[in-house]
Amino acid sequence: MAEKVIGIDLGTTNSCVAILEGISATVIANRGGYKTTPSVVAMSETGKRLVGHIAKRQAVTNAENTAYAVKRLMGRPWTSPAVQAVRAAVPYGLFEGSHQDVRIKLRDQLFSPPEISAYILQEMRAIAEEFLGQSITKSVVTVPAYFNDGQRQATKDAGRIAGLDVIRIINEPTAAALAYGFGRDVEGKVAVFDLGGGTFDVSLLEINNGVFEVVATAGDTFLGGEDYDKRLVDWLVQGFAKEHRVDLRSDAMALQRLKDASEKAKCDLSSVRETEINLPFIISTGKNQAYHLHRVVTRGKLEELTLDLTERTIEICRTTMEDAGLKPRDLAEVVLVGGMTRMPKVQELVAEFFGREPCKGVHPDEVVAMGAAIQGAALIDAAAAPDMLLLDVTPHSLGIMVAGGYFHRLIDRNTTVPTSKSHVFTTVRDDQTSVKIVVFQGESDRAEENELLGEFVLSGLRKASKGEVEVDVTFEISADGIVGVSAQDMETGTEQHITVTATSGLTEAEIERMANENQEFLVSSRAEEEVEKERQRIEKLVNEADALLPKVEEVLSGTPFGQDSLDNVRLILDDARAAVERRDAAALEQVAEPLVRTLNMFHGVVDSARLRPT
Amino acid sequence: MRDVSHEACELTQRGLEYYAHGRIREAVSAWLGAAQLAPHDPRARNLLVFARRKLNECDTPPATRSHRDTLESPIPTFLASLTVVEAAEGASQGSQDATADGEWDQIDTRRMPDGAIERAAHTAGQDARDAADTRKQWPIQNDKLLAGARGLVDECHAALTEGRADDAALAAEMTLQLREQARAPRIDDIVDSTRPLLERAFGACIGDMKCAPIRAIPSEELAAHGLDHRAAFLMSRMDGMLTVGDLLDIAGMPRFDALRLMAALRRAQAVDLVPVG
Repeated sequence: MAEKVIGIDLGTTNSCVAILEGISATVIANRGGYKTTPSVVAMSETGKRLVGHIAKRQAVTNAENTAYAVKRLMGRPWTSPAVQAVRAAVPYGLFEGSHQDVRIKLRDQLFSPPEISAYILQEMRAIAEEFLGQSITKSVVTVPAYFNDGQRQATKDAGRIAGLDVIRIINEPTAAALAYGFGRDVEGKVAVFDLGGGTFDVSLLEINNGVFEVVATAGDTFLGGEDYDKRLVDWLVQGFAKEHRVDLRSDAMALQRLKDASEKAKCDLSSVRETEINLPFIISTGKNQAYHLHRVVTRGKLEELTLDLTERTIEICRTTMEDAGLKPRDLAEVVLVGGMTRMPKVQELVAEFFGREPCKGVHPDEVVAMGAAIQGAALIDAAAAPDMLLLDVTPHSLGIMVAGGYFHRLIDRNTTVPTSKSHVFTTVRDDQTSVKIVVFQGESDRAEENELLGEFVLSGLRKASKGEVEVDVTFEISADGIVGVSAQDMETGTEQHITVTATSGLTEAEIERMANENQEFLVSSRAEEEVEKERQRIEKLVNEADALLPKVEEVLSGTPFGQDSLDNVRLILDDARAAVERRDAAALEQVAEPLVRTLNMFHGVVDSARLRPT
Repeated sequence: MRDVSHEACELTQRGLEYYAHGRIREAVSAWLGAAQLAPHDPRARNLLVFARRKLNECDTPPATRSHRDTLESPIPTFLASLTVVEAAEGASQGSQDATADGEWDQIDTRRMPDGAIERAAHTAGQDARDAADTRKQWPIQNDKLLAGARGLVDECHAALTEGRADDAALAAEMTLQLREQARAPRIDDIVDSTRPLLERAFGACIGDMKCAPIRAIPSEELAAHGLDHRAAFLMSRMDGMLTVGDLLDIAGMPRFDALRLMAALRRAQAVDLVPVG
């Protein structure tokens, strides 16, 4: 069977998996028939790991043990403002890891963000494997265009923990553009407006000869569909309180139902003008009084409740276009991505701002995964996408800090890799015998505002006046994205070198351990399922035997060998009951055979008694 | 742009709603539509097979159909059997307060098993209305309560052994209610020590944990069955895809409570189980 590569859109709130079949990308529905799966992971009271829809459906009632929007934490250090913002907003616990990274607490266990993401990737992999009927090991995973190397590496690590080889990480807007077939028939600038469940991004792409360059990207990592749901929930809660003087927020179960219903109503209102929210028996007050929530919501009401949110996205588009020095007329296309862009008001404001109707034709919540699938297929079989140039680019500029704390770029962002670039620097002080090479990644002219990748010292330089001694600094990026930086004294040939490998905050040993633990967990989960199945079978047999026992006792009571046999049988049944009670796999296996024999004997005795002439 | 997968999900949901309202033919037609739209979706397929079988059962003569349990709570009658003497003495008082806060209406409302409990109550010669008067007779003698609790546990065990899962679950339910209402400390010991038995009784009554429960009555009717909004919450999670085991995991309450509530829903025939293929 030919090896297949799946494309995964690992989203903040929802994830999606697709595969290239023939010449078109197919999005694979999960077991419930849904083509997107919530990026939610929870631990149940019994320690069971819940992923996807099932985890989302208990997110309010088990809030402390349900991790969502973990993508916001990927590859970020504990001290990052983004982590602290998430910490203030989520009900699950966040703690500092041993390498200043982040750990998420579910029940009494600590998980790293890549581990949680791994469980989601694993679910997507399982969905694809079930659909395809074959094992999948390779994938292309998408990330936001603004993700730095550390965040991209964290995504790759998540893949490793899930047992997936992430053969390429691509930018979400690039994937969306790929799914529309851009690069083949559209050249020029394209705006990708991505309003998902939890985040908003707008990216401006320049497409030239199959190279997708992200010219500008901006957004709000705390603006998405969930904010729209929240507005509707607030409106319903207030209305209910006014009518019944009961606060639905005081009951987690009521709130969970309200949240689910609000999300559904919001989705429905994209295709109909009004919808009903009907939640029978949503709460009781303990006085034998059942309250039902019944409300009609119109599209107009939803738009009114959320107008400021939609306007915020347009404002971000405006500043991004201005920063990039672009006018709407400079764009060749506008692409909508993310489930929230199904909302007519969002489409209306986007069309109004960009002065053109956005592209439609591919489902906005599936388009990114489809692009990833197309890229994946092309990576293992060039014939799958014959016109596509597969060029990987550096997402951020690379350079060193120079005098005055400025950032000197050696490799610009969006440079195709592999690449190499050198620059000659001179000493800045008289009699300077060493230089410190501090390597940064980012777009700011101030070095300190960029991300520090590493540093080293080249010493033993000749004492001379400033500017006389020359040092040649070379940056190299391999096809795998590994950055090497070397500095050479041009007079003596003395050289120093460092290799910068992006890190997610996890060590190699930790990733290895997590991958092994995850594998073990999967194996033991399957084993537990088998034990449970066997336990239920034995319990059924015991109940059957218990029901027949009085009749058998009656039949055997008159026979000389009856008592001994019955004593043995009672012992077998006691053992079986104990094994069922203890859920002990070995004991269950041990009692199965004698129990079946006993039951056969019972049936034989009862049947023979029935046949005996009275 | 047509979203076939979304339409199939909508149809499946609509079918579940029809089914809950007893409109099985409409449910079949909705699930047929869903299965045709999304042939790879096992949920609609399973529901369709189940509903068709149900439809055949409904077409059989009414005499063979099962009936929903009565809505009267067995607990007042049971307590009456324990307080028969005192009730006779103080029958004139208390009837006014008996329904004052509706406490009796809140408790379990399924029929009584054919075992020891029923016989005990019958012997006591009280009907449920008279029994409500006995509320005023607290405290019932502790030894009678304890004996009653032990009797219920024995009945639970016996019913379970004899394969009468519904009766076992009812006895288990009554044991718990007795503890909750009598609030006698030594009952706690009896109930706590038999928790695994009660759990087994509820589990046996519910049935195959690998099946997916679906609503067989509208949630609005739950109050009439003496069930609370927690049961409505459980029912709101039922989508024909989540198994009983899954449901217990996401119930938002301790597993034992969820198991107890699921058993009550099963005994009230408020939910059906669909095999997940």
